[in-house]
Amino acid sequence: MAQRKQTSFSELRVGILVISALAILLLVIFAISGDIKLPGFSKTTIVKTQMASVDGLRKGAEVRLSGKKVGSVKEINFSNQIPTNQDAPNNIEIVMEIDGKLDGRPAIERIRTDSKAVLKSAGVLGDNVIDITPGTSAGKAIQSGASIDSIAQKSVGDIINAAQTAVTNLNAISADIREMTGNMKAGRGSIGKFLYDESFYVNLDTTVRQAEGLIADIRDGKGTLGQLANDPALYKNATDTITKLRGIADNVEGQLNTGKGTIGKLLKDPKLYDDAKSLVSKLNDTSARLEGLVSKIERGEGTVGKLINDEKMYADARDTIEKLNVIMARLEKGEGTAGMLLKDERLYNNANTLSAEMTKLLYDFRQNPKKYLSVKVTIF
Amino acid sequence: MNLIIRGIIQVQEITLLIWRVLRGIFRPPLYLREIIRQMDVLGFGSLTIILLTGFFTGAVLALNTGNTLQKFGVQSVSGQLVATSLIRELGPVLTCLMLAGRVGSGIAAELGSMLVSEQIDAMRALGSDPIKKLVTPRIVALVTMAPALTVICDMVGTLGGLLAAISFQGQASSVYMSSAKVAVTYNEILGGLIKPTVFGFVIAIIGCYKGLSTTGGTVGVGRSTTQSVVVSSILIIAVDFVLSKLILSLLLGP
Repeated sequence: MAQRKQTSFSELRVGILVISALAILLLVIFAISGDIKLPGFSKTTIVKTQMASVDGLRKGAEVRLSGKKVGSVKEINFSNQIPTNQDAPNNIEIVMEIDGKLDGRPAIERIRTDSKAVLKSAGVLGDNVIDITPGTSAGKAIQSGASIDSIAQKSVGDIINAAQTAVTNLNAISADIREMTGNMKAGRGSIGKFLYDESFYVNLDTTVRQAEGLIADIRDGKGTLGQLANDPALYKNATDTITKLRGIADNVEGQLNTGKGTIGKLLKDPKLYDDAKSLVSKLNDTSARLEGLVSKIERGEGTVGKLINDEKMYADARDTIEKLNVIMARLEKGEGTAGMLLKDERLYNNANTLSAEMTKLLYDFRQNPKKYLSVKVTIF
Repeated sequence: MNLIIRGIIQVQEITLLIWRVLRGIFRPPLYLREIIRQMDVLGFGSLTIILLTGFFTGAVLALNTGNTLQKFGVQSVSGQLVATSLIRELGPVLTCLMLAGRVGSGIAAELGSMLVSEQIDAMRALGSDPIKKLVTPRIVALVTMAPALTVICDMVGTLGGLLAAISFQGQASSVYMSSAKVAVTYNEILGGLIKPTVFGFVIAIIGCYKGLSTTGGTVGVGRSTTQSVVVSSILIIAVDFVLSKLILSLLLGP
């Protein structure tokens, strides 16, 4: 294996072959991983889109189809036309190179005329990428070099602007909350009093304690409520009463149904009603007669009518009373026989003495009836 | 121009050597005893340096990445980081660089001095093929032992990282181990075994070629040894790049 000074191709052919084979192997290894593109190994398609701004998108950035890498950005150029306004979507033209295959099928199949290009950032701080929405059957197949529409995507700056407004609002809210909590802490307002004033607690505590005592009393059977809760007698009595009431009710119901007893008769027997009816008719009759009587009296007919309506009798009566008054006055004065009888005591005294003498006599007679009767005896 | 032609000639001669070796494997005699002996000398003999290399590599990796990971609050993934780095890259490459230094140089020196002292010519005169007797066993031994040593290197390195994480970073061992387990997948291990197999072949073939192409006496032996280490180290790293690309796109996905 010594080196030679002069070498010909035939002596090097194995080495050249091996080196070429290794070179091809390397190329194939890099080609299958998609890092270098061999002419003819993969067919690429050019797709263009226009955007108002690319937000730092660089050449070679990923192009994704529904988030899956399908190619890269080839060129970013300002479009030939001057845009009509600030946000005109045709400011910058992006030329994208779409790889030949996507899962064994041409990737370009999925990009159709209704696909939309969106500028997205891969992660919050990551590089920008172009995301293409997959086309639908409504669109047509796309030709190489054709243009698709783009959708303006909110940039991080826009989001921050929106967030700033939200933060300002939050600041206002937090100031309100701070004031509220400050008031609460200072014991102002209902909640503040509730939290910091002890009187509520003390009252509540007292109430609870009292309630505790009350409940304990009830549990122990003290007082009316306690008896009510613990003594079964009331329940028993109530039950008995209800049972009795039910019996009575049953009884009443039975009687009502059969027409027995007072209430039953009242309800079922028409006699009372008839009696009452005849009574009422008689009362009517009576009242009619009374009416007639009264009218007669008013007219001055009959004895009573005369008594009420004739003034002669009144005059006679007054006369008589006046004469009686005179007699009474004389009697008072002790004039005449009757007067003496009333006023003079002598008759009374004589009568009294007489009666006493009579009593003595009778007494004596009873004691010694012989004294008076002996006379007779002595005669015989 | 001369340089290019020399390079082409070297590639050609290496290719022819590989061809003879491959042809020799399938033809008796196999020299199985010699293969086992070379495995012992080249493989088991290198175990100590592989253990030390792996252990300290893992520990250093855990130490250095730990602080950075702590900044992002993801120190819990340091196990995964160390294990992935070792299995994918550092295990195969460091093991094989160590083998290139210790074994590749040994092969080149041994064969070179045998050639210079005309032992190989004697062997050929005695009727035994020096390629089959000397080159094939070394290649078979390295192709089989390099993956085995790599596996040991990976394991010891992960343990070294564990020790560093526990003692210097105050990490829980269970966190480190559960995180490291995430990195151990079939494809990772397969990729991590393909590399040392290829590297072992490269080390052995370069060592043998440089040894057998020694010229210029004992001075040439030294030169062959140096060249063997340099060329195989560079080739290991270059082939590692290509293999990584291939494994990433075929086994581990994008």
